[in-house]
Amino acid sequence: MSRKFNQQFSCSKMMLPEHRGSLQRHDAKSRWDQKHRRPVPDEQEQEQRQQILEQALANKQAITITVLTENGRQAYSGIPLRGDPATGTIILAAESGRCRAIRVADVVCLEQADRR
Amino acid sequence: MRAKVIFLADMESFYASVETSCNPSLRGKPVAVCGDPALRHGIILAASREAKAFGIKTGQPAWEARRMCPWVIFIHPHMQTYIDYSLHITRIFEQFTDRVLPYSIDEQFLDLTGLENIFGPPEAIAAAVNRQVWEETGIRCRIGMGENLLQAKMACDCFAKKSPDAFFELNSANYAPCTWNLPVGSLFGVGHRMERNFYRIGVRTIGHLAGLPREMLRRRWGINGEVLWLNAHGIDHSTVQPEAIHEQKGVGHTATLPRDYRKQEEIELVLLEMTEEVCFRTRRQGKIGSTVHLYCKGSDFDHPTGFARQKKLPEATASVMDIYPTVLRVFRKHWDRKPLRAVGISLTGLTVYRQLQIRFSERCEQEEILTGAVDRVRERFGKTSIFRASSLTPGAQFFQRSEKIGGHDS
Repeated sequence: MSRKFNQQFSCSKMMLPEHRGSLQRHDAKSRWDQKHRRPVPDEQEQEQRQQILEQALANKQAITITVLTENGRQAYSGIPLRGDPATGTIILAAESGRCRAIRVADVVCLEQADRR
Repeated sequence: MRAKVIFLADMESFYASVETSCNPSLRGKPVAVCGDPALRHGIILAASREAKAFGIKTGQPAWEARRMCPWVIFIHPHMQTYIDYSLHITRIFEQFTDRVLPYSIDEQFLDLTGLENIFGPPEAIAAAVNRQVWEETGIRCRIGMGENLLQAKMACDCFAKKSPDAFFELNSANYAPCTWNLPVGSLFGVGHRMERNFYRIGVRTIGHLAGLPREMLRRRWGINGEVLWLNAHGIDHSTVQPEAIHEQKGVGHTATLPRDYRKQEEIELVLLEMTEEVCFRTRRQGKIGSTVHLYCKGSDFDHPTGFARQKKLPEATASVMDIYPTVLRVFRKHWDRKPLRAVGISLTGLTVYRQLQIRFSERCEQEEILTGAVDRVRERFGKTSIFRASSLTPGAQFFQRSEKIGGHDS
């Protein structure tokens, strides 16, 4: 069946190449944002994360923190040394002894290491 | 099955409204956006509500508008600003639905089916959309609503634009009583030529067209005739597909020349520059095309001359040196030696370029490498960073065009 039957408006669309280009860029950005959108934790989830973190800090227990990066989700395991409210980061010491600062804003999941 | 809720939102006097929004001192004054008369672009592209009250219309020559309203304020177009505003409005629409289809710079379709539970009845959604567009951009928008895209378009063009609340709804029940008395030329898809054809067979209104047998229209005008019969009945199977923005049938360029071009070498030079531009844009999309179209318009308004022809290429390509000889052959065959006012070139039958072509000559391979290098230079340093020496000769349009969008100042 001819395209005109199904999409007569696509056939007659009048668009400047520059306008089309800006719409294509906008569409690509929307898709990227959609893919990399951070889930917003509800109050219960936030409390639970806080509790796990405080417990791990007090008992020197290992936790796993999943963060959202440019390349997708990335999980880091280790013992939290401290939380820094001023910079909004958690300092995590990996088994190798290497320390890593993790931005709380990037965290999408925080759980006890043995649960994974 | 529940009927769909489709909106067509049309921005009132879009270019003039954007100018007023950017410069509020123009509010309430007769404003007309028009190109440069010196470059023969002196026609009205958009007129504000106040200018329209004096009878000024889109498409009118600037001198005629000045005669109708001596204190009209002429403004040169700022195409990039209009594109930015249009995109801003798209973003506003996307707050209501993810199914938005821009149809032109000032018209966009929205599919709001099933959203009544969130935003309320369609009239309330239309009012909310209108309010938000007005608050964020200072532009009035008119909304036509229908059960399909055609009904929405007809509701907007034929009724909402004239309605005081800028909203009108057409549906399967009221489509015939509302539209069948309208002149056949107001039906979507009927241009001047088709209107003349219909007049010749006694069709004056949309109702007359709807009363003809579908089969007869198909026999006489093919698919187009049948689609117009469906339109007369308010039937349309189109859907709002936001991803359609990535679909493209062809890449083309048309230019009104700054003066009448009489010399063959001057016209051929402009054709070379335009072929180059079309090929560059095609390559940038990673595509190649199989058919080239050439359009030439004569300069005599009273006795229209010129031609539009197309030619299938031996193989799909986006290389200037493959396409330009075909353009020249078509031009030399059909040009009647009369002065030209406008020329256009387009490349259709686009397919994705995969390196499947087997090139036997080393020259072709070298040409491809050179073209790639030139493209990269232009991408990085701008269109005018590298050009043919011929673009420095009289008649060339390369530099004038490179600064423009849609033939007007960016």
